[in-house]
Amino acid sequence: MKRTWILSVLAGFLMLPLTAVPARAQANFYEGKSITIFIGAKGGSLTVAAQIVAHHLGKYIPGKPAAVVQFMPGAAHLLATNHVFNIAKPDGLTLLAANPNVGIAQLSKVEQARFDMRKFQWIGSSGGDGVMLSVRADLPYKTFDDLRKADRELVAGTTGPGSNAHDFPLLLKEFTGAKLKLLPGYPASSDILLAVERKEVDSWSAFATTVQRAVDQGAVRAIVRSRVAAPGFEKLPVDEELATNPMGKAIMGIRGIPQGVGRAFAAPPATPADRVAILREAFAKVLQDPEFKAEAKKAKIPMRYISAEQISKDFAALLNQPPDVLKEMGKYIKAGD
Amino acid sequence: MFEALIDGLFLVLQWKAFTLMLVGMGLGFMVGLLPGIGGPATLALMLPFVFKMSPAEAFAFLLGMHAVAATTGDITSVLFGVPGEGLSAAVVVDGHPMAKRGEAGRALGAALMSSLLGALIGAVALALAIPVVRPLVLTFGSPELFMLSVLGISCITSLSGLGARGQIRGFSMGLLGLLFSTIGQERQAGSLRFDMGLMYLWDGLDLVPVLVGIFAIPEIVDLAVRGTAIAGERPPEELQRGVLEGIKDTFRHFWLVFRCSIIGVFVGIMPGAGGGVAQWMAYAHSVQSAKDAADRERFGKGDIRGVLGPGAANNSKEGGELIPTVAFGVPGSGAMAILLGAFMIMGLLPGPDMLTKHLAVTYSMVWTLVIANVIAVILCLFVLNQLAKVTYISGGLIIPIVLLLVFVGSYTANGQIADLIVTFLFGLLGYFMVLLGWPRPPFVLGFVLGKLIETYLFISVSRYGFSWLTHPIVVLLIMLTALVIAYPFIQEYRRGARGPVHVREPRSNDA
Amino acid sequence: MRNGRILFSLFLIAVGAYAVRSAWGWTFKAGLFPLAVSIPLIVLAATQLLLDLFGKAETAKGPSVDLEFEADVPLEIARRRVTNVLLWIAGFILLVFLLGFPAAVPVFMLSYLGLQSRAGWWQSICITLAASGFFYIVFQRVIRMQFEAGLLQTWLGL
Repeated sequence: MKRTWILSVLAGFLMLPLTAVPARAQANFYEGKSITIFIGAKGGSLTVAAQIVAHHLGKYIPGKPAAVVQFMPGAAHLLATNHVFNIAKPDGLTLLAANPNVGIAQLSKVEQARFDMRKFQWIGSSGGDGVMLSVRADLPYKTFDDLRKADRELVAGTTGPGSNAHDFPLLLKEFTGAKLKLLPGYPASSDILLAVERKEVDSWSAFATTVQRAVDQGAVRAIVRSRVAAPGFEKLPVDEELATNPMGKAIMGIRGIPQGVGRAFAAPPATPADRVAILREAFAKVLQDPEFKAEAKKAKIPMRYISAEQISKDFAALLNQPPDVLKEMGKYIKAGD
Repeated sequence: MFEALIDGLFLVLQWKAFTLMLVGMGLGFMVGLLPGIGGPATLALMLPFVFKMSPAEAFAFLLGMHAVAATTGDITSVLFGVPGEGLSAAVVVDGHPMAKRGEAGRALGAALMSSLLGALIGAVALALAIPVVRPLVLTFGSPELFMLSVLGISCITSLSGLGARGQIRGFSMGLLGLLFSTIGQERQAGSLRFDMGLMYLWDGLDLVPVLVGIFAIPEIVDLAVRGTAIAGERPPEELQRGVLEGIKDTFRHFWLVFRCSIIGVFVGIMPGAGGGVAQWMAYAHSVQSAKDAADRERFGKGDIRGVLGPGAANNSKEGGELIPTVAFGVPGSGAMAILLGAFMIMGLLPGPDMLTKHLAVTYSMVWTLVIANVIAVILCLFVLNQLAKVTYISGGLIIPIVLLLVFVGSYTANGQIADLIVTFLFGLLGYFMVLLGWPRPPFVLGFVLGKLIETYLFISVSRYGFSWLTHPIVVLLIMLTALVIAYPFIQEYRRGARGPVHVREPRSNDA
Repeated sequence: MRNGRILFSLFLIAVGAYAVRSAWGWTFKAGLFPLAVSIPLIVLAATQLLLDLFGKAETAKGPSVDLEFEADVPLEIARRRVTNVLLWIAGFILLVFLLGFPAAVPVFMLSYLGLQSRAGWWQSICITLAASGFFYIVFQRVIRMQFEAGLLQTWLGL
């Protein structure tokens, strides 16, 4: 009885691997292989954007490898970034869908940031995303000036220091005189929006594309934006121009750089140059692909090609800050995501 | 609304959506047996396939897989004591002891049938609640969510000890769970706590390795100690009638199943609370439904009611969890977070529109859960008697297989060796807890709810000072909590007043 | 058993004390909750410890809603088996660390079945093949999950 049971199960399993192994000849490196794209999150627009890129990346690489997005959440993207920089094999089969904000962690010399953004082999970016501060639509505050002259401090819900939701209103409060009171502790950005809807919170800051969706639904009104403008919000005042002192402006500027880099893809530093070239070329073609564009449009994620050189240049600029600015920044900004 | 309900059904019944649902279910079966992987990880890996699908097709595919994984999760819970989907651990507590008594068939029959009923009742409740669900969710602010979490933990803690010393141990374990939940980056000021210099701990301990370790490892050790098959050395003839008996049990305790289904929907709806909590609250409710202390003592040792309650909540919560995801974009679990990704790919916006303009799509999701559950349970019922025989395979052969399930499952949580070590350490902790009589359920609830309790308490105080204590729902929840804590004592007192104890039949009807 | 309980209470007190000591220096926001949890934990565990040391023997033995082990195996053998299986589990983790998951699975299965369970060789091989095959198909073919390479492979530069 026992034997037959085990045998029957076995028979099925034994046959399967034999049929599953492809016995194709390896005409070139990528044929029959798959590319793994690590991402330090488990969901959200960064993930979806990476999925859409992954969906089309393979078809522009000779040999048409599959590209799979694999989650490696932890320590605000530092874990995944460390992994791809130090541990992953530099064979052109492993990529990182980076959160460029980890550059701030490197800048503030966080001990756990064991990577150098300048040494990654950048593949390209699918576009930057700015940050916007919004207030609940039923409140009377319509412009940034209303925020300064408000009769009370508006409650800004945040996910805690180091996040866009926290640092953006914090710098506005410190350097522009906006009347804000920070309420940290919400588990995620979407929880803040929910708190806005139940009138627990008055203001919510997040990536511009995310805020835009809530604006479209009539839940909030966008008030201020950071340097990178989302389509349709170009006319909003920019935080850096509202800053009342040069130090504030400088710190806002630093935070703005990674936002400009946006959803960048990187290969480990020692990846062979020919494979990096193949990946860069494929990535650039993906961004032009009509199907890709249609999918991005459907997901309401504006895509814009940013070249590898541009990314390297931006990170070089980010990591080259005078010590006094760094010191001042340390008072307000805690590295994180 | 009624029209949308019907439209939703037809969206699922289109041949393409239906076929995709079946494909999803097939995948769900395969991976659902592995703890951890059954949920989010697989869903995420399936996202690339949904690009070319319509919303109804995509959700039929993804939710079909998800629903089946939840159901098959109960199977490993009962057979091996390995929580299938991370949080379906509540079924383990009574389901696996039944398997060890040679009643695996009955436990499985009960778990699956109650799951099915739960899914149906949950869907009906949800369908009826949709018009009022947005205002309902919006009345639950941080103070209310805080009190709801406190209520959740009080439920199980107050019930898990016998006598004064038992109570001490129950509360100690609840506190230990709360303490472990504080590991990692704290949300108020972002400072790291108890991280031991390990980056792995920044985000806190992951639920899957902790739960799988604390429940599965003690069972493996026990199996090795006994040196027999899971069901011991009982004659296998007893098994044959089991499944039918379990199905009958579900209807014997119909009102318990009904109430637990409603609990599942309600807790599932609450944003942030997460469906896993629902199962434990349903379990606590089942324990509460015990007639007296002597009756209560049967729980944890293989009481059918301890399988039915969480079983029912397990699938009704799936429907409930859809609501915060669909209507507010706040996912209640990892799997729902992935589903949100599918929303974006589909070009749908979670929010009020999903309850008005796209109501048919929302209903199609509810229908998928119902149909997938019905099909899965019916298919499972045919093989359950065969599956139950696994409990008669000798321990020496089954241990390495169960170990593989355990470690693969916990590894897929984050893909790190550290996950395995956490599983092992919590396995040791769990082993000593069982050996020495410190109850595990309060620990688990404390661990699951700790972050919520801390977060919402801080937000409530910094936002409202102490005036939140007078919010009507908060007051109501405080009273409920007090009642829950006092309940065992009241019960004791009333029994004392009524006269001598008579031990009741364990199968007595509770309705 | 009584000794075990005393040790467990001491363990809880130690955990609580460690938490209090760490949390003492933290900011108010970071420290409040851990302190609010660990101080009562210490108090409860200490009460339990005192009761176990000086109180009357307990009437109710286990918790009401959890499992109880019941084995009719002599204590001596039971202890040996516990250590044994825990060592196997630790060994499996070590194997994964050394060889990576995909290779550790067959090695562990085969050695456990052969050395510990003393199953027949064909049975061992069949079960190993089945389990590894299932693992391979689900994780490497269908889901395409990337497993971290083992230490050994890294050393050998594979």
